[in-house]
Amino acid sequence: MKACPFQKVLVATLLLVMTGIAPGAMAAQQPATLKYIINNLGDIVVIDLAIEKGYFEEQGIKVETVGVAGGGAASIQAILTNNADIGGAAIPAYVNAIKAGGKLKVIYGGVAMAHAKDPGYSLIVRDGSNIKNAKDLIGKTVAMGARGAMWDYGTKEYLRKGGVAIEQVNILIVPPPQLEQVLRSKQVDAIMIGSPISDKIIEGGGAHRLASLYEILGPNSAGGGFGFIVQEGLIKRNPDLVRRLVAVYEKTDQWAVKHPDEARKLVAHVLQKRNQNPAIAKYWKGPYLRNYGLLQDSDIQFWLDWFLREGKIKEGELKPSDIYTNAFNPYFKK
Amino acid sequence: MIGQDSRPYNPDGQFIAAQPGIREKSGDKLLGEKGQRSGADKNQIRPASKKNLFARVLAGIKGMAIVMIFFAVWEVLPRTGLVQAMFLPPATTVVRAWIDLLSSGELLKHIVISLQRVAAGFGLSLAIIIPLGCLIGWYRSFERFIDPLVQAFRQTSALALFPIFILFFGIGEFSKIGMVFWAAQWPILLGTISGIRNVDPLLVDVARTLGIKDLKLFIRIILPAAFPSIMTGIRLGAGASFLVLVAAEMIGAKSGLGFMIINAQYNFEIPQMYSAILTISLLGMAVNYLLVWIEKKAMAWKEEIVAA
Repeated sequence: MKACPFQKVLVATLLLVMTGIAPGAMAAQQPATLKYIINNLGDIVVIDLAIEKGYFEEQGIKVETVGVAGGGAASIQAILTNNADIGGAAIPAYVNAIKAGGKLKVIYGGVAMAHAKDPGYSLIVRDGSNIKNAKDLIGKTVAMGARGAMWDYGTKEYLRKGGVAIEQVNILIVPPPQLEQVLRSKQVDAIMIGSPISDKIIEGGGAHRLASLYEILGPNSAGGGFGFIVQEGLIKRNPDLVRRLVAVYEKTDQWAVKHPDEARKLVAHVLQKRNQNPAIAKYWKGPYLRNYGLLQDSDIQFWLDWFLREGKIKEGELKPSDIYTNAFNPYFKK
Repeated sequence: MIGQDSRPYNPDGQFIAAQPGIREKSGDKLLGEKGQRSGADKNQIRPASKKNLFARVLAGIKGMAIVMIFFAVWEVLPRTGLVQAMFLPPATTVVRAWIDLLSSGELLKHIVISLQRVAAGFGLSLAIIIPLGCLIGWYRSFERFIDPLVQAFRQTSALALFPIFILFFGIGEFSKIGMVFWAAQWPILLGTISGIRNVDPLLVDVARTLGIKDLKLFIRIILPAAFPSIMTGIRLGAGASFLVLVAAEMIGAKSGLGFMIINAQYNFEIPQMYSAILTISLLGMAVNYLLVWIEKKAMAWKEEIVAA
């Protein structure tokens, strides 16, 4: 029977609709591949644990590790130049990047950088040196792994609270593996470093903690100093993917909080894979997830005020919503 | 009147008989009394006029053409979005940042510190490596003795030796000067050895026949003959000194152009980073042209000795 015009139109329309829907549906179901950039070889973060637990696969996401950046600022750069898709760094590093025009958004706060059971990054001095507070550091030398990351900002905040300007102290950059050496050989007066190197040094004797990030930032800000990002372009192209990504982060962190000993075993396993010393996993302290990893305006404003004070940004130039969004966190209630 | 071939003519157009001195100076290509080549140059008689100046300016612009093309591309690429402007700002943005840094005095502070480090490391390598190269080039037995060490270390990059430098020299100025020294020494060493080795044996034989020997032979014959090769090594060494600054100032520095590059990168102050990179290039270029000028002066002296 000859098809009447109406039938032809109907078939054509159905075909058009199907070709429109099908790719869309497939895109949502197809495994997306995300490239993950590591900050430092010794850093084990939620992404690493999630890879081990297989939580990414559950959400149809394939994660490919593309290398080590060498610091938070470098990993941000890798993501902004499309060499990587996911990673994490300190909030102040993001402020710097966004101020310079970087199009990224913090989508998840993650576990606290420091909490009651985990001092976080610490300023370490030799036993017997008469450095007891910020003022004692004037004219002295402090070494850290890189500038532009939490080591930098944590030290600056400690000094600021003690009434000392960063210019009054000599900041030197020394690669993390050499920090212990330069402290013990008296080439520097203090170092800023996190676990496990900090714990290892203190355990080795002859050195002690001058200040910890937990003391410097206080319990609230220590919970909101770090975050995980994606490019804004990814949010626009595939918001569903970003939602699934944050769901993975959330699930992993909640698991790690409930099972710290098992998580520690995974940390050792990842260190082994990276040819790092798995024994230092013993220093890994159980994480603390503050408020489901949701960030709040005050967390971000803390750092924006900081940049305002330094004269690096102008009043009103950046607001918290420019930096982060909770919209993809399953626990976010509008 | 002076004609096309520069021979003298009287006002009637008749050729004046050649007089001693005039002929030699004009048109003739024979060597004059002092061994100088007389110019048969037609341009000699053309008055230094606007035409000459214009030609020179034109030549100058043609020489700059490649640089201008480079800057034009640098300006256009980020502006059209072909390259991310955040990580490669347009040339004008960088130049503006550069001018700001210069006028605030901050750039000068970093330039001075870096120049000090380069001067110290480069100067040290000149003082130590040129004599060493002469020894190696001249005394075969010494060369055989030291060569394995030289070859092994030549392949080791300064960056890889970082931990060792810190261990021995600490994180102060000395380790940075040491890095500059390390980078500069290899071209200088090889240039010196090669220069000494490749001196024309004929020169040495003639000198020996004339009774010149040992130290006098070395200073008056060998060294000048080796000079071009040594100078090439020196120029390469100077370039290497600047290039290693970024690596040398990675550890334990709080000022300097290399430090500026790293620091700016970490704080996402990209135009400032490029300003520092540009400054290192300009300084390296300036030093290179200075060395070329020195070489030209020294070479002029050399030619006269050979011709006599």
